[in-house]
Amino acid sequence: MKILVEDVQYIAKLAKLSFSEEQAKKMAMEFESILTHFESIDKFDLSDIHLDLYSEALQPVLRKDETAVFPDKEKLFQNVKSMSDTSIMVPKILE
Amino acid sequence: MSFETVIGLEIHAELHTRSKIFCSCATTFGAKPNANTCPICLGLPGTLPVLNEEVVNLAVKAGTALNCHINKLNKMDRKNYFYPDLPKAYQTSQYDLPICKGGHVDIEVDGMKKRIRLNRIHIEEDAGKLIHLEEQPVSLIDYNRVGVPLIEIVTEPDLRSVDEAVTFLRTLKAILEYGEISDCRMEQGSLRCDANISMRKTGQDTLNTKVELKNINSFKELQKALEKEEKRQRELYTFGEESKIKQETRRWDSAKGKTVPMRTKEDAHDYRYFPEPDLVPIIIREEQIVSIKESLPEMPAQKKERFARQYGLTEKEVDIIIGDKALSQYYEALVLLGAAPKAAANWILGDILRLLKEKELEADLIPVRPDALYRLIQIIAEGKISITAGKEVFEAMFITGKSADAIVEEKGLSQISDSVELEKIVEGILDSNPQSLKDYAAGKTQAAGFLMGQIMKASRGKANPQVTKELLDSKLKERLE
Repeated sequence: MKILVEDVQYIAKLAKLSFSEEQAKKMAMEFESILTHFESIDKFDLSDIHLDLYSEALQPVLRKDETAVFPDKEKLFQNVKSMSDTSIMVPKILE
Repeated sequence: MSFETVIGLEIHAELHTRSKIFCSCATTFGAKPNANTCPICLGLPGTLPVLNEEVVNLAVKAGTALNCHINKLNKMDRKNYFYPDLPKAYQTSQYDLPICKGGHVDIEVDGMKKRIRLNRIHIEEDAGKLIHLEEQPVSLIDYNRVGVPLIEIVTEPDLRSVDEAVTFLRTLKAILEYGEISDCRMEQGSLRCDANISMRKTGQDTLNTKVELKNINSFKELQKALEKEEKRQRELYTFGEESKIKQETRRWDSAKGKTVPMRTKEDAHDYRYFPEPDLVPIIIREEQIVSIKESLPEMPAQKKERFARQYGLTEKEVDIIIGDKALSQYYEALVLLGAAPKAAANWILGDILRLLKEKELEADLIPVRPDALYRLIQIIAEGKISITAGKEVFEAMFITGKSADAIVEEKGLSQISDSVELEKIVEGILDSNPQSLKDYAAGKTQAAGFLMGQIMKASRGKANPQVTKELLDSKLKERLE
């Protein structure tokens, strides 16, 4: 799968990151090699494999539906820049 | 040329759990902003989510009640987007392996039954709430709702009219309520709906450009939003200007009563889904599905059939009572106490619904308990008060919370059925109206009606009509002999 520098820049934009042309070029190559590896995995014919059958061997990891209060609210919000009473205050952002 | 409307719905329902989906914070509505938060739901570094078992149980329950296939192996994915309602900058949701596939809901519109297919149900976490302050450049964030478990139910585009869409949502809400899957409080946002709507020539197989309507929080809004958008699209098709319909997301603004385009960037829908690396796949055992299926309470369709059969109510009466879980519970409690099924239905469909509407109350907040109403029904049956007075007493009970006996006493409403007291009144009236007595003797039977009126007047309406009538008849006979 061919990955262009533009693809890398697009994904970077979605992730709110910015890269130099040099960095993007390097990443395009790395992305490509990773995706090529996936392509080779995709070549396996798994049409007769049913995931449901394998679930027997796996154990669910779950917690009970019980409540607990996190006590140290002050510490929890210590990195918040500004608060109005107990609400977090941010610059107005409309969808 | 005729056109048909094509509608599909996406319904978000908050699951009825005590704690959040991945942490132990409470899910209670109305707490002080950010009181129900912890490092996990705020997405602080170094924390790990653990799935709440009740979320899986309730999602399987929903899937069972809605005839879905349960994927015994399913998994969570990350849906990435940046918006301050999501502290992690991704929503933990399900992408290509949802917990339930397929399924259907049977609806009935104008006596016609129709099956609406479901595409899927998946589990995900809710986002926080933003309050945009008027005339101030800031927004306030409350993260209490972050991590409250949701199921998203997605239908196939099988709905063909606004009525069908509204009926579908009503039917679905009733199933989720009776199944105790979600409390479905639309006014609190625990049941929300997005609608996709498009138009096409009747008989056409393919789908045309659709418009997505978001932020719908009531049946009335769903109806209004869809009617508006249907009209707009129909007009454009009629005038051959369908190219003006763009694939877009519009937000329903209930204050303005119209849809407004959402200011989303063109690539904001590229969510870059990938498997959630912090959570193991969800495993569901066959025994679990069987036991959930067995624990499923009576569903609205069965209840409807039983109410009609067992209580002899009309279809319309049953529809209204079953349409609200709290009403149906109230009704059955009343009947169980001994009230006649028809009389119980009359109380609910008449005075109770009227007063709930007047006081803007939900049916789970009826201030008169079933046993208190049953006592009132008994007082009426015993002839202590008239039916008209009974309605007055009920209204007072509804407002003051006092018992029927106390109000009857206070208002002096009890009927005079005591024959000694009544006899005195009757004799008195007969003595003071000799002319009427003569008229009656001459065969003018309407004279008895006049005398009856005088007795009621003298007793200030409290004379028990039946007892009085009998007494008057016998006294008239006596005097004429």
